[in-house]
Amino acid sequence: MARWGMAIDLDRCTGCGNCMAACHQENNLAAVGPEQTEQSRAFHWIRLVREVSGSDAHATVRYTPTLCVQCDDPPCVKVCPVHATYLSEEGIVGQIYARCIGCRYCMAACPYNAKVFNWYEPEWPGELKKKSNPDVSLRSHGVVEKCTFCHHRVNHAREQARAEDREIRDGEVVPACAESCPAQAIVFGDLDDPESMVSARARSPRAYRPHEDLGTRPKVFYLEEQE
Amino acid sequence: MTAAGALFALSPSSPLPQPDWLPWRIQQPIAFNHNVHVEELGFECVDCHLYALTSVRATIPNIENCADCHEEAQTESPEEAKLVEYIAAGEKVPWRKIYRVPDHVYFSHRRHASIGAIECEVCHGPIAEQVKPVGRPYWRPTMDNCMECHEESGASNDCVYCHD
Repeated sequence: MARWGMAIDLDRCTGCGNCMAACHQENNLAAVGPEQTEQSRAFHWIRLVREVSGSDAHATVRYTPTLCVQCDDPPCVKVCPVHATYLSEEGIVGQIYARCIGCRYCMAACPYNAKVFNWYEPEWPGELKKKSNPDVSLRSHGVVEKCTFCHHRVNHAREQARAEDREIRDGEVVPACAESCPAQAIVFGDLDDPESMVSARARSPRAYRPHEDLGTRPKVFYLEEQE
Repeated sequence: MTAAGALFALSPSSPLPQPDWLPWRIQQPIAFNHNVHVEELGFECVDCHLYALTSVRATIPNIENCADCHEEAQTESPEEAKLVEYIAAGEKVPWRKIYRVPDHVYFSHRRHASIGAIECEVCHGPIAEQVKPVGRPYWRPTMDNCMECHEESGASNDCVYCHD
């Protein structure tokens, strides 16, 4: 059984924001419009965290795509009173919207700030609702949502592999963010497969996991920038 | 009105609009006869319910499929006459769905019927023997029922396999 993970090469990331746009579209995130965005009501499953260092004349900007890191020991799961968030067989931290009561304990427990909550009834203006991805449910307001590593794509790949009586190949499952990245900064695959691209990147001396000291054992690896 | 009276008023013979779901029988616009098509004419389920083996969703056939044979009446059946009228008017038959999985459930026909080789009858019942439309699901797609079958067949009951 696979243990899905992701590796993000910060050297390659240009901060273009394609991953955010692709994630929005793929996962039917609510479109709040420019006015509401100004009131901080926009939310994302993956966002680019910008860090500026240096003085004005010699400032350097660094972008880090931040998403749910799918911990192997997830703090959010421990606090959920209704078992709406849980660690799945293949290591993806699932969020079952139909079960979520919106208490937001998990958001408070998450050290990565990866979960989002929609306070308002989401709108899909015009034709947007008809263009939604049928494999991902439309969430109402009042539930916590988060990145699922595009689990519906894993399902599709699994289905195809079973139909052809084989295992899922490395690189067959590509989440929307990885697919849209023009610099191929994001790689997704099975961490338990020593041959996979993601495990090769995870073994790199540049690789680190966010807040490793917390013992949450994330499955998203970052490859730090080289000098 | 008492509770029993209210129930009686909503019996199948009531002209009140029917809901999309249980508890009473759903009436179809045409009394379609599965038995004639399958047992006598030898059609397979997937000849009309396209994509049941190849896609996530199966389809309910409509005039574009029926017109292949029913542009002109084949019999003297008044039910067929209704279909011929729909085809002549170019109007879709407003079939009503009796099987429904909620939006938060991912259910793939291909995964079950093709890859899992589960016969249509396992969930849809002896539909080929029916001479008129069934008004209720043979087997209700509830989470209990799904999980029971998954357990028996050794399929995964992991939440994210079906909920996304």
